[in-house]
Amino acid sequence: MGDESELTDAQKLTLAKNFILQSPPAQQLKVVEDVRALVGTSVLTQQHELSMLKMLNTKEFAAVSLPSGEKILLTPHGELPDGTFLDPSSKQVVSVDHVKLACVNVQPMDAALLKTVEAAAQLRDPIDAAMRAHVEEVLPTGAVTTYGSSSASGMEIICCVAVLNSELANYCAGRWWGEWKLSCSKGGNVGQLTGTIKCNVHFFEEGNVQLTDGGTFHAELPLTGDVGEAFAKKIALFEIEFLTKLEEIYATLSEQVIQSLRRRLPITRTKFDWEKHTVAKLAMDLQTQAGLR
Amino acid sequence: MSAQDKRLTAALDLVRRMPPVRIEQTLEELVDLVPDLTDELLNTIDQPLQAAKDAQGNTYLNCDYNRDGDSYRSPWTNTYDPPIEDGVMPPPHLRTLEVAANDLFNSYREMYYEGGASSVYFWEPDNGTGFAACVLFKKTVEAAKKGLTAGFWDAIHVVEMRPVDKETAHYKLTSTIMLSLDTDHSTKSTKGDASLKLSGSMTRQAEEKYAGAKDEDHLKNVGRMLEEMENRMRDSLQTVYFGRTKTTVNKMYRMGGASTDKMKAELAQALQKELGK
Repeated sequence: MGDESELTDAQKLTLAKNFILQSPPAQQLKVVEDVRALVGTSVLTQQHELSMLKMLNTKEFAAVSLPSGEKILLTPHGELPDGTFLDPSSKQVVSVDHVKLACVNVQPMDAALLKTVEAAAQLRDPIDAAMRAHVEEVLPTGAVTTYGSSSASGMEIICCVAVLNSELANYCAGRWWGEWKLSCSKGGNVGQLTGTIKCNVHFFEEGNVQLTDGGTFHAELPLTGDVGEAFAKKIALFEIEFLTKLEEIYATLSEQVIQSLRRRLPITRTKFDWEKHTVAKLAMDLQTQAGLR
Repeated sequence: MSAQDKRLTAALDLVRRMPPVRIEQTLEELVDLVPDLTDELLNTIDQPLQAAKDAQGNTYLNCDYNRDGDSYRSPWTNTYDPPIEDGVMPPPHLRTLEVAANDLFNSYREMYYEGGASSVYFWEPDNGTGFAACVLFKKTVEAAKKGLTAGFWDAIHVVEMRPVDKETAHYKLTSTIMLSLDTDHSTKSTKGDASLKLSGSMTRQAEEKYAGAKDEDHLKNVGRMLEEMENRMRDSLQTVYFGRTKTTVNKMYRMGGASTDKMKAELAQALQKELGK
């Protein structure tokens, strides 16, 4: 104890951050509490805690309910330089309590911000509407936040979706989140759609079992006709492909693979004969020892 | 709770929540953060087993129980690698039992694991009566053959035997099984990274009193208890890994569509009402 290998406060803080950013779904405050008990509040100050939680919330698209009852997602695409978050749908700016994951204040956007948001509205709004309808159907407890930006070279729409399933009383929690980006160059009639699905599940009764799953997708999207509808249909297709493959993987793992690791019963279909084997081994060992003498 | 206990509780709680795929790094980081708890952490937190080969070419498994300093003892040759002077050895009567147990569980491994490796280590318990032992199994997936990127099953069983009287003994078994599976998750539309990792560990305990006074009784009793435990844990692992995680995914993503689910529920309700008339 107290030898030369003792970590500096900065090193401790790096490890603390590492742990907090790897929190399993819905358990970040438990992790913070544990980390605080290990490094102390002089190292992990309240200010550090807040900034780490903010990083985690933004990375995993945590949802916050607005006074209107609508939910918005906290994402890197909506974070403003002053630490507030953008809600392009209600055209408001939201201040958030990152510990309680609650909205503390909403303000209408200022004129400059409003102008940038409205510049991409023609494409953002129909995509947002179609994705909301899609999410209501397949991720009924989830939320959607869609951002749009426009520049001289074209338009970019980013649609984020996320759902959290917290059943900590049953030692179980999960998170599913997706991020979809449509890039359209000015005058082009095909857009590039790229994005990811991520899915984590944590089960911790008598152990710690985690599923970490994800995939990166790409497709071209025609920009003629109902782009919102086409966008949501494409995402639905990606998701179904992803989940169908998951079913296939699980079927193989749960039968052949686990059986190849450790059989349910020996190939003889009878349990190990401890009586026979024990007597034989001990007799053999005694003989060997007698022979050595 | 003392300050030290409180920190140990916090460290163990963290281990239950951090990604199991990086359990070794988590343990290292915890030891760096609270060096005064190093022994407790190394004793309590199970890590994936490492296989080694002794001078005679036998494979053996390393853990905290066959370690002395930076050297590990092979149960087959009873020598340390790298060699050390005065390395900790089990007393002669326990070494006899250890030799028999290694042979015995090697046969058990053949039957259930059809490959892999096993090792058994014995030592004298702190209170001096009876014995303590750990039985280890490791099996690695033939990754390419099964279409996986990687995968393993590690079982760590720690047994404590304490004589109760001349005819009976008390056995306490603590079993941890680590199962880790790593596979590609590409589909027609994926481009680049797509992978699925399912990994973690489960721990269970059992305590029994059996008739047992001789070495051969103890080996049989421990063997039966361990077999029973492994069989039950295999079922639990299957349920949790492939059942519980899947149910959670399905709760988040309704493949059939929420409105279909709702319609079905309403239909069922209406039907029940009709039948109840």
